[in-house]
Amino acid sequence: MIKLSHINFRYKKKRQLFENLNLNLQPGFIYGLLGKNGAGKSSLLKLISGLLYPDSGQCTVFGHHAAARKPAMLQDIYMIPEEFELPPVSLATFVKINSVFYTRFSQNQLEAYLAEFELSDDAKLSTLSYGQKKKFLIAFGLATNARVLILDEPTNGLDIPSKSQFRKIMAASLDEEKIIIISTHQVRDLENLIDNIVVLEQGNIIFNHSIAHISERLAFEYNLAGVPDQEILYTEELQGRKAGIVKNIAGVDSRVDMELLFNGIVKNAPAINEAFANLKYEY
Amino acid sequence: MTTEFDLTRLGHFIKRQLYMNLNSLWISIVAVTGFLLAASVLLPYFKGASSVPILVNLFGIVFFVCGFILSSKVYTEMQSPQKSYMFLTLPVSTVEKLIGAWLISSPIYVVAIGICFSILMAISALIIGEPVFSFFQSKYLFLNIRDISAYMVLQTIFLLGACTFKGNNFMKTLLAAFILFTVLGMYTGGVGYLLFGESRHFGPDNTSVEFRDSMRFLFKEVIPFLFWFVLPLYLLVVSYFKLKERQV
Repeated sequence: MIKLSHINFRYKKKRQLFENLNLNLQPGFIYGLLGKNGAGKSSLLKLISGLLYPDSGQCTVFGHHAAARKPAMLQDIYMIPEEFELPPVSLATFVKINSVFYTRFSQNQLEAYLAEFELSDDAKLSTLSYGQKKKFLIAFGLATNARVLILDEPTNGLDIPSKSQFRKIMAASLDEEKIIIISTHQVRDLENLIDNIVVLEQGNIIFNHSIAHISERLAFEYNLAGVPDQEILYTEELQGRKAGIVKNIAGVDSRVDMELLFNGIVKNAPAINEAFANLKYEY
Repeated sequence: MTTEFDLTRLGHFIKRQLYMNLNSLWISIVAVTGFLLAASVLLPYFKGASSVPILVNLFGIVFFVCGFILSSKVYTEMQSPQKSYMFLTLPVSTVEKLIGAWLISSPIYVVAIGICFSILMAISALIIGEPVFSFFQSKYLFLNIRDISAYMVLQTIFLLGACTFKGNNFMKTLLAAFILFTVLGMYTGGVGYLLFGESRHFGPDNTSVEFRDSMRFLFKEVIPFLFWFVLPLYLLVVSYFKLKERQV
């Protein structure tokens, strides 16, 4: 599991980003990390992968201190950042020289993922498009069988069929040992994929609940006409009508509209969180 | 492969570093070899045997400069924000990253360049009209043990620069070293002035035998020991901590 305890962090000469941040991420789930620009999503991912050190507090990944960057911990973590540069070598060479460091790396899995993404291993990385490079990194990251997979804006640059392939592959690759963290602005890309939503706002976690709880507690309506005001938690204009989030009084699981939910949380997190008041908070 | 130091993993790391930088390495090797090959052919052709000392000096300078540039660029992946994440999250310990980089930029470099330069010297010897193995004669020796040792000491300064600066490491290290040595020189000069005043006399007239013995011991024993052994080890230890503390 990933445990962040009392994390304080600031970039040099900038305001405090994280102040007493606490977060636990459990294996067996895909976490969607959402937030506006500058909310601290990428910084949080870097703290988890040991690329940034907290000023105080502790971040542990399966019991290892992230900041120590020991090989035992690094074998269990694979990060795909939003912006990356790959060396001008072939896919096969990249795999040959990097896979040896991951003891659970599976060549068969890699070949299957590459086939799914329609990538050939004799292609040169420098000749691939940004989207193809990203797909290659996702395939490689999954084939390492690292228990923590961190993806920062993974669907940026992917075409529509690739986004579907991405969702399919991610869902299939999850097992009870793995933690997958996906940070994105494009919340619709994560629909039907993530198990938990964590929303960051100005360095604070303002929402952290499972999709199961959300669909049990909230309902997403696209026409609020006739809905009593006391049941409405958030409203917004949608093509001349009022759409919004309401309390799920009936208790029947509803379909979660990620975009509406995210807007609601960012605009009025206390009201949305109130619907989960009698649930045990996970942060 | 989970301990802090693993020989197999170190080997994989060295191989990876060489492969990842293969393109830029090849371009540098071809450019330098081409330049030296031209010099090794043209100078002996036009100047005959008198070109040998020029070539020896040229090879010596190229050896040092190329080595320092290589040392500065040995962590080039770490200098770019788009690449550093991959280097820093690679399951290799800091000790292995340091030793691997040192091996590439010091012993491996010395052996590789020694072989390359020897071939070029052999070509020069042939053009001058001497037997091919004559380059083993002392006049053809472009490197001796002292030169190699000096390189291995000074190279650690550039290795530290590679761990410390973000971009243009070679130039920044040169500047930092220049400022450091200037300040050190001024400080030493100032201390000397305070000790000996304006007499500018440092000899038997105003110094005791003990003082002279102490100075002799300091300059002949302590300073060489500090330079040859303590300085490189100290710089490698500092490099280790710089690498360990490196963030994106």
